Amino acid sequence: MKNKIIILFVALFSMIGTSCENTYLDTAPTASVDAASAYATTKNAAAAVNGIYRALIVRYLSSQGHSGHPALMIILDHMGEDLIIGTTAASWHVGETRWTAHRSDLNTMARFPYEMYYRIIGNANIAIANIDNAVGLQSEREQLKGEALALRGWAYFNLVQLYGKRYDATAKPNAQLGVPLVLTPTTEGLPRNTVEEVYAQINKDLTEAASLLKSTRTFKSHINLEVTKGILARVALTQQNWADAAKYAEEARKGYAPMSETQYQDGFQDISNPEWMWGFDHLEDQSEFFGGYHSYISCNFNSTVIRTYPKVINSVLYNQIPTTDVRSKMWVKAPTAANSVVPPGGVRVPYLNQKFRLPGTPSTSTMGDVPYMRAAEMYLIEAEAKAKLGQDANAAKVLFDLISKRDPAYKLSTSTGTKLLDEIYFHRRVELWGEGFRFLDLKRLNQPLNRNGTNAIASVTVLFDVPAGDNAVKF
Amino acid sequence: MLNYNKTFGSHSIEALIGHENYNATDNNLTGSRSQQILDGNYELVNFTTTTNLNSVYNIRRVEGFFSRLNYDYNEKYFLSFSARRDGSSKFYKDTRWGTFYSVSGAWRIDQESFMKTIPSVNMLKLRGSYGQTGNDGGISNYAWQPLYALGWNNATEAGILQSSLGNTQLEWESSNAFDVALEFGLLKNRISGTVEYFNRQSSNLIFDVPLPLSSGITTVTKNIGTMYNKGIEIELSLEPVRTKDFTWRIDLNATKLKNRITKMPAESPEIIDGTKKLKEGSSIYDYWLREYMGVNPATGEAQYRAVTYNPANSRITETGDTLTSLISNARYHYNGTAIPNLTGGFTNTLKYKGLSLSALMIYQIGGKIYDGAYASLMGAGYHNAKHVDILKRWQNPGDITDVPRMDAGRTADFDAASDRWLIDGSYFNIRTVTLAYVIPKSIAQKINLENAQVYVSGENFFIKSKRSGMNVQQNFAGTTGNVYSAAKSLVMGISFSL
Repeated sequence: MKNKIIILFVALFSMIGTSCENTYLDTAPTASVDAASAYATTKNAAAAVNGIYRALIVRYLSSQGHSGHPALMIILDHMGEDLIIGTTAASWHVGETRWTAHRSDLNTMARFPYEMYYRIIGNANIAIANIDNAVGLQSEREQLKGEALALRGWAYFNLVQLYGKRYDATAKPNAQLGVPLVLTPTTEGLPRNTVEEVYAQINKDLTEAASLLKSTRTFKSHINLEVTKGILARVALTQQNWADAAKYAEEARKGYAPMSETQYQDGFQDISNPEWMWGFDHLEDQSEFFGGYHSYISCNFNSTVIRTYPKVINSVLYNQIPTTDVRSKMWVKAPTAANSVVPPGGVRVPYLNQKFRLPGTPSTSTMGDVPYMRAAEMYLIEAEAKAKLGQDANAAKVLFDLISKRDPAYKLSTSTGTKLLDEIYFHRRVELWGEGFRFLDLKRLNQPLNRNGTNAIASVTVLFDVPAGDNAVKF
Repeated sequence: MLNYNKTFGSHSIEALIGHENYNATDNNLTGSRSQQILDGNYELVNFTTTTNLNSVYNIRRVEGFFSRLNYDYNEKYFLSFSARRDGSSKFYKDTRWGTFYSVSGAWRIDQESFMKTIPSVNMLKLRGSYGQTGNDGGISNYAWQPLYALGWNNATEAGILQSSLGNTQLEWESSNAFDVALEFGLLKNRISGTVEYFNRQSSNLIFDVPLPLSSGITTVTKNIGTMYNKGIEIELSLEPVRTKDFTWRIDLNATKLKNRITKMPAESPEIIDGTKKLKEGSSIYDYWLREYMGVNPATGEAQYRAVTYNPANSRITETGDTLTSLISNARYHYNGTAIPNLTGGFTNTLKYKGLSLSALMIYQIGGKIYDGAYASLMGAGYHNAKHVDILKRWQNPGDITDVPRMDAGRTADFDAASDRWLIDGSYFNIRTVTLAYVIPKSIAQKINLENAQVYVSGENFFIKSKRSGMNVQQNFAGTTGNVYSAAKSLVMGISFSL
């Protein structure tokens, strides 16, 4: 009897000890691929780099209002004085408008850009670390590495502008803390680097990218040589490096002519526009629906936001736009059914946005393409930089080259010095409205936020003044 | 599964070996289209634009081999031993197999001959056990694998993106529970109950460990540590009155629990998790919050204990405390735990012939609640319903109050998460009261019913907690939110069988 029990247990334990080491438990997902294969070939690597572009335009923190870089473009303009919430019905972008969202640990705003841009950087780091060993053509490897470097530089540039104090060219080296420079794939937390160090790395990445990239590309959603130079121009402008800003901006816009007046009224939703240098080409199955850029910024998407509190422009700014300027049609001071487009049941408020408009009304599509970089910005960077360099006549000429396309009645400016700069800044505010520049411009120029005397609604806006250089300009 | 039984003399043996295989597949296809063509038809073909089209085929497999051996002698001594070995497809091949043992024993003391001389003891049993169980739940089916996800297409071009780091070290989480208990019945079972001590160790806890956001991916799945829940649980049933027509019975239970983290991973020794901070030596239910220091009577600003003195936002009080009105300079500290000192319930049942009245009452003594629902009602911003306590807000210089001034521009500082929102979690709740009458058989049978009973029962008519209306019982971690609170209900009914 006892023997039988012993035999039973010997059999049992031998079974446990030799549990089958077969492949039955080796399962693999169908919706993912093994990370090691992502950079095995340049074909796979191209998909991995493509994924990074897509990651710019998806929801972060599961939030409809945090749908990638385009969401931040809107938010940064809400933090300025020119993009205004039109009625008191507001629920989106209220904390951002009041500058409370990005300064609160209860809000996700402080985390959202950080998480998003570091995701771009993390994936770019993997690309940069592995692309040299990918099987494929050398030219393909160079292009992919160039794109990854440019994306990393661009992402760090966005980060340091938000999370560091402004770069001050008169106070080099800028020893104030920026963000940690993570340059290889790692899960280690790193200490913050100084703003000077971050800018040095941004310039290094972008310069290397420029040496690897060419002008040719198949899709405008990719960064090519000109876009890289455009980013370099933005960086130089922010670093008050006027000579480089002027040089890069001029080179960047080669081949991208200002759009015609007709094209200007197309609704800023089509990447094929000749002036668009870089953007996102929206396809139907890649929509974030109510989170999309045009779902918030257009005049005719059929959503609660657009129906009940559409975006309007700063009245002080608008009233300075000549009626001969096509941009005066981008907003309507006294909107009626005859002169403005809104979704069914939508309210019409003075200074109503019409700049961003989706095809069809009511528009049920969310398929607006997103402008990341337009040639107009390059003209404006070049004009500003040249004016700062004291080349007033050259600056006025560049400004004329752009503005005369917007306003046939525009005369070459004879202003000089601050007056000329003010004229450039005015056009910059009008031209780039809604595209994510105003807050960063206030910060880089060390100017105060001043919403007094505008059509901002007191109970919604609450905050009317922020002194220049206030701590709150940091995220 | 193979079973083996044998009894010889007073010995009895039962042995079992078995094999278990678990294979779960999840195969789904989801799609959506928009822009309806004709009204009233909801087939996909009646729409023009495909907005989403996805499919996936997931597999999860577990193989298990197990055995058990039970032995008893004379129904007095019981011994059981079991072992199992499980392999999970969620883990890497070198770490996927885990072995788990358990052993238990019991001694029916009342069966001993020496106990027969004490007739007042009806039942007495000592039991103890130690058992391990493996857990691979709560994580992805492919948790060990570093992956790139498909579906990150950029317009018409294919795209993939890093989706998980994987972890080839990941292994089974194991729960090792030890308990020893004494069960007893005295005086014709008019006093009966159980006293139990338990110590449940959870080791190799599987957790999605947050990574620095700068690593580009937010979490990695790891076995991060060890913690225990130990405590004492007492259950008692008393019958102070037991006569032919009338009985009064009291059932009581009470639990005291202690939770400690005993090991954290070297690379992440501290993890902040909402209102808690996980750290060796503390509990996963210990609050880690800013220290709220009331309202500045001069300005009406909320004040917190400061990390450093900064003239722009700090002040030093007469008692020497350094306070700040800026949350970024506010200091965090541990303040209490969500675990109560004691929880339990008691039921009183009175029976007189067919009539019975019973009431279940539950309680918690001690423990703190983070009252997030109250915090949101006390928010200083626009567009929110308010708690009446907001009437006590600071309004004029010199006002002494605990509620800061209403300032929509400073909501981030004034409404911030802090120990201002902690409150004593003690409560007393009369959960149910039931009055029932069993219709006498003689009457019931005339209308062809059996077990007929009429009753009226009320639920949740009385809850007393520190803050009126606060629902403490939302979750064990001690946080509240906007949820439906337990409904008050009054039910009258007749139950019977035919």
